[in-house]
Amino acid sequence: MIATLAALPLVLLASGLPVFLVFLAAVAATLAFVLPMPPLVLQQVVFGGLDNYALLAVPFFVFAGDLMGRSGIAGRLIEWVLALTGRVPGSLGVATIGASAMMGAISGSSAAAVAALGKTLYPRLAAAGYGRERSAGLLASSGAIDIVIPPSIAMILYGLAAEQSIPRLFLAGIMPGLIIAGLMASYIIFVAARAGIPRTDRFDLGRILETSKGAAWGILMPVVVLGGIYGGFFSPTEAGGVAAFYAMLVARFVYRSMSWREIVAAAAESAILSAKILMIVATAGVITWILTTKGVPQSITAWLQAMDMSAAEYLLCINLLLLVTGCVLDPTSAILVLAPLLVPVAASLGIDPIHFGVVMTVNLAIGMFTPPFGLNLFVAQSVTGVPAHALYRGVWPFVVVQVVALLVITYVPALSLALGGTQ
Amino acid sequence: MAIAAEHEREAKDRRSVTCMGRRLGGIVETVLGLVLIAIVLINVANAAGRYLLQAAITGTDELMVFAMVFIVVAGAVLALVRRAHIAIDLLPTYANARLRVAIYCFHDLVTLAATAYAAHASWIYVQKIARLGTESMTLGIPMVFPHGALFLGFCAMAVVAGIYLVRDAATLLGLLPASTGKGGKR
Repeated sequence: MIATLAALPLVLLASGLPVFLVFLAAVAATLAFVLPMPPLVLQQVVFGGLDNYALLAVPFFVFAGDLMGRSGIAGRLIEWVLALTGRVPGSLGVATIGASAMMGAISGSSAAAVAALGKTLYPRLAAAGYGRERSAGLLASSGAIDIVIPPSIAMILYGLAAEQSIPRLFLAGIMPGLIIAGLMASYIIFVAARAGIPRTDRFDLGRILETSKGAAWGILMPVVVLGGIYGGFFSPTEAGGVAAFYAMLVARFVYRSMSWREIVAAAAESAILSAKILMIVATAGVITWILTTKGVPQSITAWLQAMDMSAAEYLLCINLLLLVTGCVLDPTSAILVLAPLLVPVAASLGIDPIHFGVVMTVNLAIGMFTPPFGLNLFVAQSVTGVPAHALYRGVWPFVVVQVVALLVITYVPALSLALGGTQ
Repeated sequence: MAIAAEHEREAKDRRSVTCMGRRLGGIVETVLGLVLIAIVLINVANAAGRYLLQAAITGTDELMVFAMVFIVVAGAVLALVRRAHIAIDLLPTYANARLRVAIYCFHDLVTLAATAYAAHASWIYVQKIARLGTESMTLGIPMVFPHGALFLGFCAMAVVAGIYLVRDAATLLGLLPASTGKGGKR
């Protein structure tokens, strides 16, 4: 079973085979040659994985994020954040981080945020004196905030895989997301002050009011989404649908920046992207099912208990494991395969599963821009045109900053649980 | 002269097949977009109805989930045709042309085997629930349809993999020029 469920997937993954096919091939090989199980188990579990109402949140939030980028909502938010941070040293860098956090509060798709911010802000950052490497590094790394700040697709999937409350996970992600943003902003202010990068703007109330008016519909979106969930008006899944509907109305009737044809095209692209994510969800479910029925989580728990590992040591090991995993595997796949295995062990050591979900998400968010395989690096590279080796140099300081944030989030559970639940 | 004309005719046939494929892909893509928008509207109507009219529309959850299954299956097939699924494709990206085609042949072979097995598993299951006559809980939709969609999806993926395998193998053996053998977006 180790050969078909561990060695084979690693080889196939390294060869560049699509992730869902890696899982499907591993399951097919296991069912055909290793385990005495009927093949129809595959259909039953794959369909069962998709036959889940909560998963509708994925296409909804992907669609909302896509509309936000195409309709100009994102551009208006960027201008608003720029106006707010004009007086701060390193204001353009801080605005990039702020805009990323705002976009995270609407869509929850990291790569989409990097692409949208990169197009608008990279030329300005490079011209303002941040340099090509650091500008591209900042853009690639700021996307990590989006995965942690609610609504987060990664947290929805963790909630489903680990059977945890998605609204609680969303709440738990707020403080850690702000901590990451705060530490990155502090670093950028320090860099700007040391390098003598001039402030881009003065404090201008007129401009703030003007940009606020332009961005009002975008600013209102997280209020509608999160207010709706926590006000008890709708579930996280319905909130995704409401967000997409809201973005459609704003794009078509308020900003009038998209035709119906363009909205359908955006929906089509979102549907295909969601299909790619959900095929991974469905096929990863079979691997998890096989491992669970074979008692693998229990074996890991027993092994760790025999090693007499403390919760702090376990979290350190998990951080190392997930940072490496995050470099080679996208958060969706990593969460779906690892959460069902790691959460029971964490629970047996007294770690709150909500806090553990935040730790997992932050780890995998860092992996999204850690060289050499982080997905956001490829997105930033294609948007900015900065060569890979230069981008790697630019991104390392932000990896260090976010690892510091990760350690704080890991060892101070109250930061996640103050809003996300009881300790 | 006759051989050249025949090659030209073959190339033209291939171009028209590719063109037809692209057009079909475009139609499927538009349908997927419209289905997603429909799901969004149903979702909002359901939430609004529950709070404004104190009446939820029966069976919408089921309908939306089955529509999502359709989106996932059709979208996954389309992404496979375009070679656009999520992958860590550093090896094919940095490999030289010949090695890249060899890697693609390997991928095609694994995809064909995995999706054919999945289609086989799916078929056994579909036959079983067809015999039992299982229906969905609220709308009473025969479960053969949503499960059958998955079966058809796996079959379509196996066919796509088979076609790519033939084309990539022909390219590797030098029977087709590299550009023709690529197939889809790479």
